[in-house]
Amino acid sequence: MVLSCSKEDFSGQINLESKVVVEGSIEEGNFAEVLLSSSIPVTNVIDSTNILDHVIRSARITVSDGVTSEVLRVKNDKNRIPPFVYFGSILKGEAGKQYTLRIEYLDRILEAVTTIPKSVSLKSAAYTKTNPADTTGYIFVKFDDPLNEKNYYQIATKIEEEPIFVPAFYGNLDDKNFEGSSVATQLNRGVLLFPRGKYTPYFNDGDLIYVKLRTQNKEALDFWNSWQNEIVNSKNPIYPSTTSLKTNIKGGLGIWAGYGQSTLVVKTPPKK
Amino acid sequence: MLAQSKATVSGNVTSSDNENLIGVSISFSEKNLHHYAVTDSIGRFSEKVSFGEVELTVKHFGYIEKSIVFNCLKDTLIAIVLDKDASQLKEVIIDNSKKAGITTLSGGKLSFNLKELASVPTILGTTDIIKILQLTPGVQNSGEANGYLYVRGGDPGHNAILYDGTPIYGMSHLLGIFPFYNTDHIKEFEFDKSSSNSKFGGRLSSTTSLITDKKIPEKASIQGNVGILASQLTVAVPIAKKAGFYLSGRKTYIDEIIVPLLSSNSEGNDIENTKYGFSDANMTFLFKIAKNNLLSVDVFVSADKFKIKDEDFDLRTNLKWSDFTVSPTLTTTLSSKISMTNSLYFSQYSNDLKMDQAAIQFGVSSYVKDFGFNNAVNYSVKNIQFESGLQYVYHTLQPQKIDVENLSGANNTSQNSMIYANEVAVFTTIKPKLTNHINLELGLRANYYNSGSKSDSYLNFQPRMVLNYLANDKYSFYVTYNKQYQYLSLITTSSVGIPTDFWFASSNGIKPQSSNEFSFGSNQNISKNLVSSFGGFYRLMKNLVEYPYGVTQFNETTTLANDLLAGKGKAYGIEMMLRKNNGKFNGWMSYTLSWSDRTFDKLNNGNTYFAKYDRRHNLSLVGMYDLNSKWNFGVTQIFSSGNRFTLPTSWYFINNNPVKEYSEYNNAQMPNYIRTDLSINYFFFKTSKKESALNFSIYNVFNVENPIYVVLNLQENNEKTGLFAKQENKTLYRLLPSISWRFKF
Repeated sequence: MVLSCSKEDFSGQINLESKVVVEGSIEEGNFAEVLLSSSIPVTNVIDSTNILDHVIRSARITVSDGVTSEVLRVKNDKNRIPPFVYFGSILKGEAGKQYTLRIEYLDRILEAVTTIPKSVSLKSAAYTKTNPADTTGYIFVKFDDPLNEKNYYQIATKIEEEPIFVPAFYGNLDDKNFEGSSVATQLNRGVLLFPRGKYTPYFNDGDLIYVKLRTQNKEALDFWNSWQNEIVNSKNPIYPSTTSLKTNIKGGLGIWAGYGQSTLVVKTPPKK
Repeated sequence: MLAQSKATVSGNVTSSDNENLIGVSISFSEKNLHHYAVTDSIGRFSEKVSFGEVELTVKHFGYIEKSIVFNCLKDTLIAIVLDKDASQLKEVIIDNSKKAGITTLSGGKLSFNLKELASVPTILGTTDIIKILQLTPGVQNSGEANGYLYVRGGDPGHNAILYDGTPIYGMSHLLGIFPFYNTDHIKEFEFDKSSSNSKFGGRLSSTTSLITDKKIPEKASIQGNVGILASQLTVAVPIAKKAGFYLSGRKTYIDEIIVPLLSSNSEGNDIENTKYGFSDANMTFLFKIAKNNLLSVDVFVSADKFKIKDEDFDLRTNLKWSDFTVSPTLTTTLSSKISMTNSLYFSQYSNDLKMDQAAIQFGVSSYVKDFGFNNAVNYSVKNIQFESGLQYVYHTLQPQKIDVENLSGANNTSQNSMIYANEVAVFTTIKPKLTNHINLELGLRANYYNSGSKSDSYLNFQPRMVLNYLANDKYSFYVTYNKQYQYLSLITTSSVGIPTDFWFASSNGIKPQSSNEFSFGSNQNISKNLVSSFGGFYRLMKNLVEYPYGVTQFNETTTLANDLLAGKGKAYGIEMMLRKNNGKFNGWMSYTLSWSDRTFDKLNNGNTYFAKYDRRHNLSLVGMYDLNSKWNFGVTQIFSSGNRFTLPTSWYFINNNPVKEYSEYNNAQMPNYIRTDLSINYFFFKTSKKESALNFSIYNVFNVENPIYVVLNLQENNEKTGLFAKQENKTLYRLLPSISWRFKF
C-alpha cells in the first residue's frame, strides 16, 4: 500500500505580485541600454501566446545627464530575454557624470540614478592551459588598481557566438581585498543560460574571447553579488538563497548602473 | 491533625554497589494510614509521618524487598541499602511490574530508562535519544535529514546536551539516520525542557543529561549491535575489585549501501557521487579510590566525513566534523547528608568544509573548545535539601575561518577572528516543603561572562522556581518560572541540518540571548497503570541571533559581528501526554499545540514572521507490545504540521538568467508530516545478563513522501512551447527497512 501526499500548491499561501523589472546600463563611451519586463508570478506558465504579456514595449524611458536628456527607442533583439531593447543614440556615457533614468509605463513611474566611475585599463588577458595537450583553457588577466581611489570591479567575458557579456564567477571585486596594486587573477567563466545552456568553467580552442574589465559602484557590486548568490545557491540546501536581489530602482526591481570599461580580445589556437 | 504530632522521615535509597536508585517505591504504613513516596533523581525521599510506630516497605524491581519498622518520635534520617535479587538473574525477565520507560520528575521534567525503551522503533534498530525526545510533548520532530532538537519554540542551539555533565557542541550525524550517541554506553537520560535546574545554565531551552553507567563492572561482558549500515560494540572490563571500565565503539560501512538507496529515492539527481561515514568511541573508567570516593573518567570521540559532487555546477564538496571530550569526575560522599561532585572537562567540536567550484577553492572551518570545572554539593539543613555549586569555563572559539583561493593564487582572501571568553557561575537550589501539600524548588544562578573588552562583560541572575501542589495521591499541579541567559549561540545557515553551522560567543557588542518562561501543568495518576499530564508554557526570548547571508558573500570580508542580526521571539503552547507504564502493552501518546514567531528589524521589513519550526500540531503515538518471551513489537505514529520556509513569489531574467523574487520570510508551509514506523524484536534468549535478539525495523512503513525542502525550477512544459516554474519537493528517503542483531554476553 502506498500513500503519497499530493504535491501541494503553495501558491495559495502567498501573495503573488508582478513588479516592473529594469536591467539597465550605461558604459563609458557607449549609449544607454535598458531591458524592461514585468516579473512573472510563480503560478504562471509562459509560452509563445502570453510571453509578450510580460515584456514591456511601450514604456517611455528617459535618460538624462542633468543637461541633456534623451528618450530611448526600442528595437527587437531575439538574443535577449526579454527580446526588446531600449537604446540610446545621443547621450554617450562619460566618466564622472551622473545619469538619471526615468521610466513611465501606464500609470507607473520608476526612477533610478547612477554615476559612471573612471575606467581602469586591463593590462593583459591571456589564454592559458593547464596541460599543453588540452583543448580547453582559462583566461588569466592582469591590471593595476589605482591606489588612491576606491574601486569596485567586474570582470566579464563573451565569446564571438554569445550575444552578451557574462560576469565571471566571483568576479565582483572590492579593492580593499587586493594585496597590492598589481592584480593578477584567473577568471572563472560565468553562467549564461540562454542561449549557451550547459555550464562549463573553461573556454575552448577556436573561441574568440572578449574580456572586459568594468568599474562599477557599490550598488552594482551588491546587485551582481546577490544575482550570483541566487544563481549558484537556489538549489543548494547548504547555503540556500532566500533573499531577493538588491535593487536601486525606485518602484521596481533590477539595476540601473554606470560602468567604466576596458576590453581586450584574446585569440585562441584553432580547433583541431 | 496538628502539625506538631508529625515528624519527617527522609533519606536515600542505594544499591549495595553504592548506586543511587531512582523511582523506588516506599510505602509508609501507620495505624490506619498508608501513603507512598518515590525516590527522586538522586535516590532521595522525604515524607511526613505521625509520631508512633511506622513500617516502611521499600520495593524496587530486581532487588529484594526491605521492611523497616520503628517507633517514630522525631525527625529521622534513614539510609536504605537494597540487595540485588539473585533469583531474578537466571530467569527470563518479562514481568508486569516492569520499570517504566519514562518517569515524570517534578515540574514537567522526564527521566528515560533506555533499556525499557529498546522496543521503540528506530531507523536502524538502535535506540536514538533525540528521536525518542521528539516523541514527547513540547519537542518538535525535525523531519528527515535533521538531527537537531526543537523544544518549546526555541532554536536548535538553545538546547544543551550534557554527557555526564560535560557540554557537547556537536549535535548530529548527517541525515539524522544515525543516533548521535551510542546508547549501549548510556544508562539513562533526563530531559529538563526548560533547563529549570539551577545547575543548568547557558541555554534558553532544554537540557538533556546523559548519564553513563557508574557501577564498577564485576564481570567482563560484551554487548553490541550488528546492522546493515553500521555496527557497535561495548565491552565492560573489571580491573580489580575497585576499578573497571566500559569501552564502546561504532562504525559505519554505508557507502556501498546508502548511496544507491538515496539516488533511487530522491527526485532528480542532485545527490550524486555522495560518500558518507562516521565512527565514534566512548570510554568510562571507574575507580573507587576509598570507601566514599568514586573517580570516573569519561572520554568521547566522534568523527564524520561527507563528500558530494554536483556536476551541474562543477562543484566538489568535502565536509568533516568531529567532537572530542574528556572529563574526570570525583564523586565524594562526605556523610549520609552530604555528597559532592567535582569534575574537570575539556570539550571540543570542529567542522571543516572544503568546496572546489570551477577554478576556485573555498574553505570554511570552525571550532569551539571548552576547558571547564564543575562543582556541586548536595546537603540538607534542617531536613531541607540543598544543592549548591560553582562552575567555571574558558571558551575558545573560531567561529568561521574562511580561505578563498583562486587557482592562480592572486585574489586570496582570508577571514578569521578568534573569540576567547570566561564564564563563572554559582548556583543554589533549595527544596523546602512548605506544607503537607505544597513544596517548592527555588533555584538561583548567578553568571558572570566576559569576553575581551569591558563592554562584553555581563553579570546576570537567573532565578528558577517550581511550585508543586500535591492535592492527593492522584493529582498534583505545578507552576514554574525560569530565566535564562545564553552566551554562546549556534548560527545555522542551512535549511536542512547539515553541519556547516557554527558556534559564536557574545563579543564585539553582540549581546547574550535571554529568555523568560512561565509554565503550568498537572500530573495525574489515573490508575496503577495509567499516568497523564497536561500543561502549557509561554516563553519570551530576546537578543536572538540570525545570519541570513550564507557564506557566498565572502568576497566582502566584513567581520562576522557586522553580519549577525539581533531580534526577539516568542513561543507558547499546550502540551499533553498519556502514558501506560505497565502490562504487556504499554506506550504513550503525546500532543503539542504551539506557536513560535520571530521579529527582526532587518528581516521581513521588521514584521513578525513564523519561526522555521513553527509547527502548529504535533501528535506522536508510541506503542510497545510484549507478546511473550520471544517476541515484542513496537509502533510509532507521527502526525505533525509542516515547517515554514520562504517561497518565491515571482521570477524574472537578468543577463538572460532566471532569478527569483521572494516576499515575506517563511511565508509558506511544507506539507503535513506523516510517518509510521514498525519494529519487531525476536529474542533467541534473554536474561538480565545475556541477550541475543534480531531486530527488524521499517521506517516510514507507508512510504509517505515527506520532503525536506522545496525548490522552484524553471521547466519547459510537455509541448515544449513554454516555460513554467515547477515546485520540486526534495525528499531524501522514504521507506527504510533494516535488520540488525543485538547481543549481550
